[in-house]
Amino acid sequence: MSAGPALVRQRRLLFGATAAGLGAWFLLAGPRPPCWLPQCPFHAITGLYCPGCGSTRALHALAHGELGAALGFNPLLVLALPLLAAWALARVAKTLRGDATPVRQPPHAATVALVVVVSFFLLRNLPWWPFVLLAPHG
Amino acid sequence: MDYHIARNNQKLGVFPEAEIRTRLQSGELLPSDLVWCEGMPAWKPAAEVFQPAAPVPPAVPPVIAPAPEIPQQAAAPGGRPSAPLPPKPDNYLVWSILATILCCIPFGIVSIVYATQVDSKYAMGDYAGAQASAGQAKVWFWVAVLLGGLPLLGAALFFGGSMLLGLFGGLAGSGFHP
Repeated sequence: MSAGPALVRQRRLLFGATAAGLGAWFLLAGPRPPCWLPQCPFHAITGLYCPGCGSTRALHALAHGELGAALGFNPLLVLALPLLAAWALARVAKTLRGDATPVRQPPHAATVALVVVVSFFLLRNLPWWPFVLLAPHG
Repeated sequence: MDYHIARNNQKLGVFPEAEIRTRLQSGELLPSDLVWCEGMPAWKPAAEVFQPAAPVPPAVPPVIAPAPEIPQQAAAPGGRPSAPLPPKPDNYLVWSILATILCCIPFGIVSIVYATQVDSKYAMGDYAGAQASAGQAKVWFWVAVLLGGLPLLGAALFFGGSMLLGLFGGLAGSGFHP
């Protein structure tokens, strides 16, 4: 993306402040996800679990070092985090070299992501074992 | 007034004048890129047509002529342009995945679909189409973030607000008078 340096700096500040704020919020909010965590609006309306359902609780669990609980709330989030971290590292490395081009993705990365997300969406709504393990539980 | 844009013998697409100016400023378009619009006798460098201070409106004769050939800089034998496409536009895949996992569907998934289109269109040599899909991926990413993020933001404000209220309420109840 080409944007003025001032805008880029503002954006970085915004992202950094948001991340720090969320991190502090999760840590201060106590060891178990309390009721004030907002419900997914999609789940509230349709009763179905979307691919993002449970991700707030999963992040909350991860912030307290509970990997098993996080997997129970949203396994897709936990599995995607290392990939996202790898992307972020590559992005930082490129930016430090002054290279603004997009990070190279493996071929068909977008197609794979689409298939995984849509399958996860369908499977976690099935009412039978073992698919119920994909629905948020803890 | 819409202008055709070309770089290295490849048409990049048709853009309105205002958008070309912003893209020239942001560096997405180069002053050396060629532009042409209905009524211009030949393609001209963007720098000539879009001078920052005094824009030169091209003369518009009432003749609708077909676009002249893009000046051949280095044509490969066989008529196929040899110049490579511009680098692939960012497909926003990572952002659309983040939006899907952290916010609510279906908008993050729409964004991922457009990300796949960026890749497939670019692979077919359709640079303008890939750019358009990248734009759509970005739009749906923001739709997902705003619709999915607002409840989270609201909860944060509510939580923070009720903590403050509780604090003040507790102080007032304890007979504390500052």
